[in-house]
Amino acid sequence: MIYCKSLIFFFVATVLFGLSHFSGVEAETTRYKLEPDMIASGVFVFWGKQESFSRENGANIVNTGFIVGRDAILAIDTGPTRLYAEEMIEAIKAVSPLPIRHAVVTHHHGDHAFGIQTFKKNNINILMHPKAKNLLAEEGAVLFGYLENLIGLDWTTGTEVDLPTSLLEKERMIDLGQRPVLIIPYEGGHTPGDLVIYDITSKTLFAGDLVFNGRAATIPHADISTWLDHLDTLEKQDWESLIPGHGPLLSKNQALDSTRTYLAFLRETAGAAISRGTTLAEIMTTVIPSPFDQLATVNSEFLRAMTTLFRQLEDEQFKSSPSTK
Amino acid sequence: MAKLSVTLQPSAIAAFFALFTLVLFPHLGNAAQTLDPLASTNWLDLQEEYLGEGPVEFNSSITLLLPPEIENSHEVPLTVVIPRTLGDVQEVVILAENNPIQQVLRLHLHRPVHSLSLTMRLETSTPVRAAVLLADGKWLVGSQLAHVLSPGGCSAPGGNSGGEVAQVGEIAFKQFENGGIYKNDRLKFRITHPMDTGLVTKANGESVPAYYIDRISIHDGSGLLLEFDTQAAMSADPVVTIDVPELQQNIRVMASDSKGLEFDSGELPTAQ
Ligand SMILES: [Zn+2]
Repeated sequence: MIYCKSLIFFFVATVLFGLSHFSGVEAETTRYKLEPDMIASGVFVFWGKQESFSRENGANIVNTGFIVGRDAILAIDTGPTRLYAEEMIEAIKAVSPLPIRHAVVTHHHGDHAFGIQTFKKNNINILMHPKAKNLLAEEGAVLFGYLENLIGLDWTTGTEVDLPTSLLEKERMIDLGQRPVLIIPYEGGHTPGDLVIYDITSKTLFAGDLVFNGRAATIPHADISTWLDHLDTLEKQDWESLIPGHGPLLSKNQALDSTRTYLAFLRETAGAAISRGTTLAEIMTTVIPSPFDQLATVNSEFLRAMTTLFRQLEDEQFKSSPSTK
Repeated sequence: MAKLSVTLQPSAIAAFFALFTLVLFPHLGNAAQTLDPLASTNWLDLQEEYLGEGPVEFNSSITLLLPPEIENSHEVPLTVVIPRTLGDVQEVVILAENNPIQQVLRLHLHRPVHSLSLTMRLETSTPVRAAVLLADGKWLVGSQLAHVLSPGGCSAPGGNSGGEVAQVGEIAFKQFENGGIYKNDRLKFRITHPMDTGLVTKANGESVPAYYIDRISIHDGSGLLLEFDTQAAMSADPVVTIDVPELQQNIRVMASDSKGLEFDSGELPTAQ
């Protein structure tokens, strides 16, 4: 019993210490220290950390980047906060004096879209899929509140949810000066309106969150079946390097299996549980099988994914079952 | 504050609190069975209020399954496993200690149930208890700590009913043969209802009055099976799942709410 009590107090102490430790982030740490990584001639990536949102990383968990043409620059995604976007623009300017003319926001999730306001202030054309724009308008405030809770005001101060300046529903070519870049919409996969950026010159594909590498995919706005189809299409595209929304670079010889098998696992796990009558609490307390247990952030993302899928599937199940009033 | 915690060894803290507890509550020292395994300070009040006079024993065979961390505090899934080795169980009470509405539900059993699952509202991180009343008047209590990441499940807006007002009281139902923990029948139902706590103030300053299902009963061909006293600490559109080993045909779910409305599923068609 004494032993048991020690354990409990150790737990309580850990929780208390953990909380007090979280409560203060010193001002000096509120810089992302973004460093562009040149992965091909004229193609740069700011690699995000393989972590969840935290007060330590300020949501720098996402891969953003830019492509430099002869006349202009195109940025890919805007990052999670005003601070991030400002640092990103600063870092791009340190690489090239050319104007940043466009920023393509791959989808409406905050880690990709909350820097829009800063790019807009710099007179940069911001492109988004219309469905993503609508979702950002509808859910942006809620998503931002959620982000602010997790990373803290030190990072989010001055960030305001803002909307794109132009919309793109069909594939479009943007020429940066002897550097044609394709913007390709992929609807209804990771979110209703994702955009993918393909640099024809270097055969680099910025896939946004349609591809997660070594990290648990997030699915709150996803349609898994369509997403799996999109992965097949993406895999067949002629790219040398693929930059996932989260996780390290993929080379041509690497298939998109990390995302594909995890999505299939989520769908099967939730589907089997719903049809057997297994409860959400039962599923959430089971052990995540190998190899998925190796994915970064899988413990928290698995809980989120099961919650989302359970709600959808349970609702369908009840609707197809006897119901009376 | 943080610095202080670092210099103290956890075992020293434990020893200090153990001593402190014994000095303040000497009766705990010789009643080890009633000591709370999660070292709660207000358990004794809860016990008195919700479980009455009977002897109480903490028992780890009553298992509570909760997500390891809870993001949506409006809709927290809980499964309680009530092992059949416990024998004849009279009542099951689910308590969330740090909730403004502490008693989530009280289940009166007229036939055995081996597991009970539900969705509930948790205001903040809390010990969750499942107290099981045996025929001899003794309570057995299983516990689990709920780690809530985004508090406000009872008092913050959100977690609203997915149904229209016209659908309030609609009962949807699904039966799983061999779906239970002992491969017996599992029954799952959902009642469309806002389950308003009365603690939520909307953005425009208007407060939402309490309005919730207060009673649910389940019947089958052999008569009354279970009765639940429920509170608004259950989620909007609550989903309840139970394992019933002797489930008969002609299942019927009835409920009433705090406005006195009565809901009746009628006799539900047999599964499959
Ligand atoms: Zn995303």
